[in-house]
Amino acid sequence: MTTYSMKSVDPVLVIDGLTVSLPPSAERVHAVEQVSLEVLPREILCVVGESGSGKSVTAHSVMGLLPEDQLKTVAGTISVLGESIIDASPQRLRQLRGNRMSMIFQEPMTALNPVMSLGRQIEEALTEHTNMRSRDRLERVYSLMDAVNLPDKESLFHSYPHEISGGQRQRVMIAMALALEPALLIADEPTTALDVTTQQQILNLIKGIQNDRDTAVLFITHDFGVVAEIAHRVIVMKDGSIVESGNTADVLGNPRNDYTKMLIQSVPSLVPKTRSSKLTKPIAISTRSLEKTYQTKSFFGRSRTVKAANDISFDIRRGETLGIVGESGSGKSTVARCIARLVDPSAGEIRINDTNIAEISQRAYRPLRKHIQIVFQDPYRSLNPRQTVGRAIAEGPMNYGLGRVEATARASNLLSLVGLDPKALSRYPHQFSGGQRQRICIARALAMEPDVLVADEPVSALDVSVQAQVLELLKDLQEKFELAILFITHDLRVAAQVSDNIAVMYQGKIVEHGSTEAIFQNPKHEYTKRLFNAAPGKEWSFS
Amino acid sequence: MKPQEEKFLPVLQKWKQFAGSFNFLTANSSVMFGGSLLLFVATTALLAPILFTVEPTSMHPIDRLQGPSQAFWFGTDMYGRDTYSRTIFGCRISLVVGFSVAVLSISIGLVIGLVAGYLRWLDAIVMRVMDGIMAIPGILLAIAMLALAGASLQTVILAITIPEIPRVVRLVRGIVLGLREEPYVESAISLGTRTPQILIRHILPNIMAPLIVQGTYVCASAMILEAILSFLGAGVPPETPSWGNIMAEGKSYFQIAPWIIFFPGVYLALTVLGVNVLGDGLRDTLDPRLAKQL
Repeated sequence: MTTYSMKSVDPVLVIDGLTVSLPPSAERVHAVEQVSLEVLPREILCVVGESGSGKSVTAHSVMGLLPEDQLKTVAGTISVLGESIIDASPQRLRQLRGNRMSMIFQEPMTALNPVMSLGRQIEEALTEHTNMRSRDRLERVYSLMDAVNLPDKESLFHSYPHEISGGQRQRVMIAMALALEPALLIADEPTTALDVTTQQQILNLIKGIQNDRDTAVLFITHDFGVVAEIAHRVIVMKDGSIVESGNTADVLGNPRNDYTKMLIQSVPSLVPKTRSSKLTKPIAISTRSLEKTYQTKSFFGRSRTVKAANDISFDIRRGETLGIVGESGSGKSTVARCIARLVDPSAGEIRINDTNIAEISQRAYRPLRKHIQIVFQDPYRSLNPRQTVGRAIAEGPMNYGLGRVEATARASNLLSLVGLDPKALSRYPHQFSGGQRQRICIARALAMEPDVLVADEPVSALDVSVQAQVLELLKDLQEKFELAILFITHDLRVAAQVSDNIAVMYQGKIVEHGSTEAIFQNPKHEYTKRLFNAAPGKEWSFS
Repeated sequence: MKPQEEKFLPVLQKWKQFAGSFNFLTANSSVMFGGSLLLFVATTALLAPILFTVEPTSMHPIDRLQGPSQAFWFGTDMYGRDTYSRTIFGCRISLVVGFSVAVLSISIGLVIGLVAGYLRWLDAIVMRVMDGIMAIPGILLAIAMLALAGASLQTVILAITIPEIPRVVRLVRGIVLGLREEPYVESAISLGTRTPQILIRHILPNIMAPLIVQGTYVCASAMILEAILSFLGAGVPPETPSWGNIMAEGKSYFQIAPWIIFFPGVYLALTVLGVNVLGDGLRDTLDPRLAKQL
């Protein structure tokens, strides 16, 4: 990593004392308060923080993209190459965007126009801002596509966003952002929606481009792994204010602020914990050659068959966690849904208590349902917004004949077990934070007294500090109830911390399966190696 | 405080609490405006037997085609019947048709839509039937039914309801298709909740808001359709004073006695406006997300 002699060059971006107010109904007065920072040419400054820390608001203020009816800049200055953004007219602001600064967003699918060809979208900035002739523009578009390593330029020029992968879309976004050679590139969580191997490619691309073109980069992220991978300097934000800033090595290696320390300690380590062997415990659930194929039938066209999961075999013992890791589309969620019988498996066996539940009808399976419970990824959609929390937790036991009074008592016990106030029973989901909702979902699953808990990315939507708490809770509950947990995750760090065994899935198959320690120390399959290599910030041990 | 007043205090508090729970509605100006208009028309309809000045069906040939005056506020028609009294009795027909059609089509459409949206295997069959019903022009269906069953209020309501049902079904099915994939519905499945309970407990409460809004639009369009049908002579029996009937009778005299068409026309326009504005307001207050989409 390059070291920088500060103040030797003029900064590209200077933010001084920026304060943005929130609408009166919000929880706090200011979205960001007294934020000051500088980004030098050829420098990547990472702004890191949890959700609601004000990092995105800061980025959007620089672009002049704040929704003015809700967020107002009440104090401070922002200048890009010496020109004030806050005082700029809307016309001038439009010229500056693209010419001097440009932005890439988290979700490349929604940021691209779905009905315009990719080439035209990259070209648009050139058409708007320059007087280039059409042949020159075309050449420029092709050279930009080269710069972001997009293959097969001619055909891609005429393709549409839905025809290419997420990583390629993000490359197109970056090409668009670079079209006018801006001095400042703002990247707002550009790799959060991408798989880890694609994330690595995009991070390398941003590093390379920034180096070649002397671009200053303001990089917003919540992921300390990404920070370790890409940043020259780091700013840590909390509740709208900067709590710590400095060189990456200093902040990550030797944090001074308590909040930063807590955040860094919450990042799970890539080194697996040694865990006691559970080989003596009885097997809670096992699958043999489990398979799920999806058939798309169309009235006129040919039908297509997709094998979402193929030849899946594993055992989970009581009190044991099997982590399934893989990238999006690898089939790991399909396995989870097959086991919870939310979809019917196409072939193979799922055995609990010597019953093969893969082959019995939904009606026959109903009495067995309570043995397997599932917790989903998105805590905001996992609870019915119009049902009280108490009702949600009591619903399952009441389905199996428990009286309302007993079920409510159980719900109240469970709420305190997962660390919430039992008085919260009569409240509605929107009155809770994401982490609290995930606790409620866990309580709801536990109300059924299951043997097996399927956790489908249960902490992926949570902030890192909350994630650590929820993982801790799951661990405690597992010990208490001897739960067998099937833990689906894309995050190797989380997998390393929670799993006894790991199954790596790729294209619907388990390509490697074994104890967590063995796999992390000595990955055998090509894909596993690639996955491990791509884990951001792997040189850092954090906690 | 007198002991008598004390007795009513808890009741008063309860009432205040109840009224307070509607604060979110009264805060929206569209709801207030549309609601007031509708309330005005509804009160008129309800109090028509008190508010009327002359028997609506009694003819006074000597006073025919009189302009608005102190004796005949909205003038008289070609038989000397009082347009004011006929118009306020017309409120009843319009409101009855509007609300009956809304309630009927929403309830039937809701049940069909829930089932079609949730049970995959039924979906294709039900939706093709709905497509078939949608292909029938509403006015033609009404005329055919009236030819078969004779002119009556019930026939008109039925004739307008049938073509409205598929629209409600489509709306409900669309929302259910989305809700069915929601993790909280899948959680309910894995908690062993039976399908009817999932529909009632988890899906129904989450479609009520758009459904109420759709109900207001159905109501407004039913009122207009009823007026059109009556105007064409295919609606309620001609002796019944409905706005469509009054306007149909007045159309030949439009140039010499425009008031016969004007006043029921104004009432119809205001009522439909009221219902639609109320619908827009409800849409914004009940579901802010929907407000952005539409």
